[in-house]
Amino acid sequence: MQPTIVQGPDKKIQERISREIQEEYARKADSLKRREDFRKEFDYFLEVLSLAANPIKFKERFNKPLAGLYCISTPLELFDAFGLHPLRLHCGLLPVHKLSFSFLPSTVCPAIKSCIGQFYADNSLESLCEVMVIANSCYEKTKSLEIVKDRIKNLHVMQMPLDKESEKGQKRWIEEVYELKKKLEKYTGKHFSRKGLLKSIDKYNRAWELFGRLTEMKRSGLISEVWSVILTNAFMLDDVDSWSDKVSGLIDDDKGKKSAQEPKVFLVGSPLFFPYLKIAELIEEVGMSVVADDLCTSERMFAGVVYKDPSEYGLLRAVAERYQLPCQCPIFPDNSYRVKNILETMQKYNIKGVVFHLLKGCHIFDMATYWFERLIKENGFHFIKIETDYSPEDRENIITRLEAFKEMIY
Amino acid sequence: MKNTIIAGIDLGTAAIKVVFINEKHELLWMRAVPTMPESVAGAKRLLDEGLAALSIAKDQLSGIAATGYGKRILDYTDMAVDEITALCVGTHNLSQGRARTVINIGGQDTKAVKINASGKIDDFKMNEKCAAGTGRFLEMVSRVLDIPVQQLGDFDTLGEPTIIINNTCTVFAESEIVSLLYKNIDKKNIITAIHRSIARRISEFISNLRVDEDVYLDGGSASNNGLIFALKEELARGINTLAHPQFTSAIGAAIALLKK
Amino acid sequence: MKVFRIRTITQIIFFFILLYGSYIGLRFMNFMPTWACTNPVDYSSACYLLPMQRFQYGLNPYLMYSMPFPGYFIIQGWMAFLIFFLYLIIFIIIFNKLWCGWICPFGTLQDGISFIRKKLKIRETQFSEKTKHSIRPIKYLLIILNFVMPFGFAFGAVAATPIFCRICPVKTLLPPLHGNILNLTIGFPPGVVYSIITCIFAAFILIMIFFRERFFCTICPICAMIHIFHKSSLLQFKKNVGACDSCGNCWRVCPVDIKEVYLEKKKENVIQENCNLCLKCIEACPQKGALSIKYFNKTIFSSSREYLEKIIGRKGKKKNATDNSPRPG
Repeated sequence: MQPTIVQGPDKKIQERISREIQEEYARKADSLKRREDFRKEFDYFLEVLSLAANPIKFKERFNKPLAGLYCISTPLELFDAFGLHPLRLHCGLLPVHKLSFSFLPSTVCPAIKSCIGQFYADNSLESLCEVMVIANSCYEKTKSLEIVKDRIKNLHVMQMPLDKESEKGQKRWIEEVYELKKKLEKYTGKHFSRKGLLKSIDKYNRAWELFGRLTEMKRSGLISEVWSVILTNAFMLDDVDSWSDKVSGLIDDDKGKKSAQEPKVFLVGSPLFFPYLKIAELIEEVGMSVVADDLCTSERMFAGVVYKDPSEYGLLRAVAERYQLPCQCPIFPDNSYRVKNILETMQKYNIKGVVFHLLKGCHIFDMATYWFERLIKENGFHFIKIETDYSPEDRENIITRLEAFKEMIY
Repeated sequence: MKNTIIAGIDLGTAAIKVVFINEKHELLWMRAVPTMPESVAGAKRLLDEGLAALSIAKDQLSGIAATGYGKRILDYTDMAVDEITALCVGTHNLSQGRARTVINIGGQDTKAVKINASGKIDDFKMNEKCAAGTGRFLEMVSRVLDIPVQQLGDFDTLGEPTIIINNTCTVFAESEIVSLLYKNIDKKNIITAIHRSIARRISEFISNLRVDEDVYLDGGSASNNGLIFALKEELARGINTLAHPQFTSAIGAAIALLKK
Repeated sequence: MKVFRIRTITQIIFFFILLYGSYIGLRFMNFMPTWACTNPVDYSSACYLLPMQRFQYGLNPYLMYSMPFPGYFIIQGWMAFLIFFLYLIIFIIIFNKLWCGWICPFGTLQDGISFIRKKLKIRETQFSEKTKHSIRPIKYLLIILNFVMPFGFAFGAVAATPIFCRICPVKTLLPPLHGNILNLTIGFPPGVVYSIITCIFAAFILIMIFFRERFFCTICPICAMIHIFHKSSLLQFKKNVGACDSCGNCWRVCPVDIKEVYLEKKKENVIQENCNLCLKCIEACPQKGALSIKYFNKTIFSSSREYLEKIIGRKGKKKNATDNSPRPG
């Protein structure tokens, strides 16, 4: 018997939703272009991001088999070495939420709703991905793929060991990366080559270097959080080489500007996916500037690959550990480095407050906020938690709280 | 000009409040009306009423400060003060600098502010998009039980804590109350349970604020004896109220402008 | 100038000075805590462990080839022991373990062997935590062999050849570089049994070094001796726990596979007993100031993202660089 494929919504709804998606991207791009700190170099990144609404164009542009990824802990270099185009699937769209209502509980995190919704949307990158790889950092997301498993061509789940500091957890993750390598060899029919991986490592190390420049710019207020999130989001879709070329042009241009004098805050918490940039925009709207963040779609890009053993195993181990050891996702039982790093950065750059952005429905992130709040306050800094979702109606409430927060840290 | 007069407007979700103060922070005039669809016009009318009562012209005013959800809608204000700062400044002044923690139960929001010795915000909490434990919750109770909001406190003092309502979600609590009414439970006891549930919600809400002194209760519900009693029990702290609890934020906004 | 280059150059210079320096008249004697066997008499420096094993007999290390009566110079020998001990302490105070990573000729030899392995792209053998733990006591056993046993025999007329030297693998591996292959022959003093044991032991060590970087350093008694007194040194290796983001780079590039630095969450002083102070970890650390080397509490080299970028990024490097380009490790 054939397995029954869960049918998506009918054609009319599909059409309406794809129109809404296009509109949302266009609206966002427009409003971003009207910003004071818009520079013509940013056009490229907005264009790349908007391509997500135009999957056919997206495929034409990159002209490589697409590999859809769901977590920053999937080793990008490996996909690149096999000639695949890795893209981290965005899940920041509000209009597709309604496509997910018949499959998901309403209390689930909006990112998951978008992710499932996008699978059922007509025009989505998801439907074009040859391979779909998920590192199960988020169990809800991993589980949610059950709903759409018939729409995924090749699904591979990487088990993330929760004890990343133990020998057992580290061995396990290296095994997972080896397993991924084997699977990719099967899908692509290509043999793994050491030289190819080295080239990819070099490419991504260069991108990492540029992320460092972007972070420096952000620390000194030369680039706002909104743009730095957009640039990172574009990195997740774009070809790494062309992204690096564009960003290096951006950095060379940017010298001698004055830094902002606004109260500085540290943005912590759930990731921001284009076009959902609400919290970053609102913080800037009330007159504070985010000079540091630890979002996994922005600043938390792992350090470039460093290895001592140039053998195949040595390289794969280095790549695997790049994505495992520094990962500070709240799923890990011991995340003490995360808050220590934040406190260190705050002291160094004279940042007064932490804004903890929380997507409603992510209980794991929410659980981290309580002890986080305590630690931040004990160290003499201010803390505010903003729990929200993709809908715009709590804008006023958030603004009120952020304004008071600004008063407080001033 | 002889003396400075400042108007403070609080465009809340439940009521519009207008106050006039002078440079000594003395209250000259105050008035509140429920929020209506044409709140912009309503605020204007209230302001004119006040000007008439004080028999001064609008250009004799030294300034107008607005706070509340509609603070940016009015085009004639000199300054928009956020609600938390307004509450903090207002409480600090009205309590003669004694208040260290204030809890405001507003129409749509619950706010808790810790105030430092110089009258600035030390820390605060404000509910997110959820009406649990807000004034709206009490309004719902009053509608379902058919008792005016102002009298809820009096009913509570007669009630006994025999039942427990755990739900603070306005929607779910409503069905719970209705089912209790079908069971013929005394209204008074239901009100006691409701106040206790709000108090629990608030104590949960401010748990990370580390309140260690007396708490000031502000907002329309500050005159509700039942709620005050429940909070006293739940927080194990003394509960004080301010002279004009509904107007604290409007006064605070005006003083914030005066200080500026 | 990158640290790993300075280090490689220093290592090579000292390798030649300590092994062949005598040809140009350089003689350092044997007070350096390095492995440089005395068997070829032409060495400019000699093994530090050899005289340390002999003091207790009352031998004057400066006259050690003149074979005096055992016990005759007891006081003089003890004085010499203390002086040698003082040398060690002074070296530790000034240089800490820099000796191991930067000067020791046997360490350089091991690095050379690893270099060949890396060129052949042969993977390094991984040791489990358990294996690493079981290797740990070996170096202390060797210290006992070096000091405590001769001390016990101090007044007995035991053969003059020090016990540790009888089985020392370095004695077999280093002198051939100097043209002295005597130690490779069976029957070389102190006898057939010992020379067979030594050769087997040395062959084992050689194979291990090939498959595991600086394997001998993990059982080296001199390294362990320095570690015992490392706290008195002016040179200190520090970790700023707040800056660390636990990326594990320090662990991955470490020649002796030290994981403790990456795991440390409280302590500031993180020098470990196998550490060679090669500073590769500081080079590989992407977090500013997370790892640093301090002299007189003044930072002389500390980790930074910029430095790492110079090594692994594309700054000043041609496009499509391959693994022939310099990297830490």
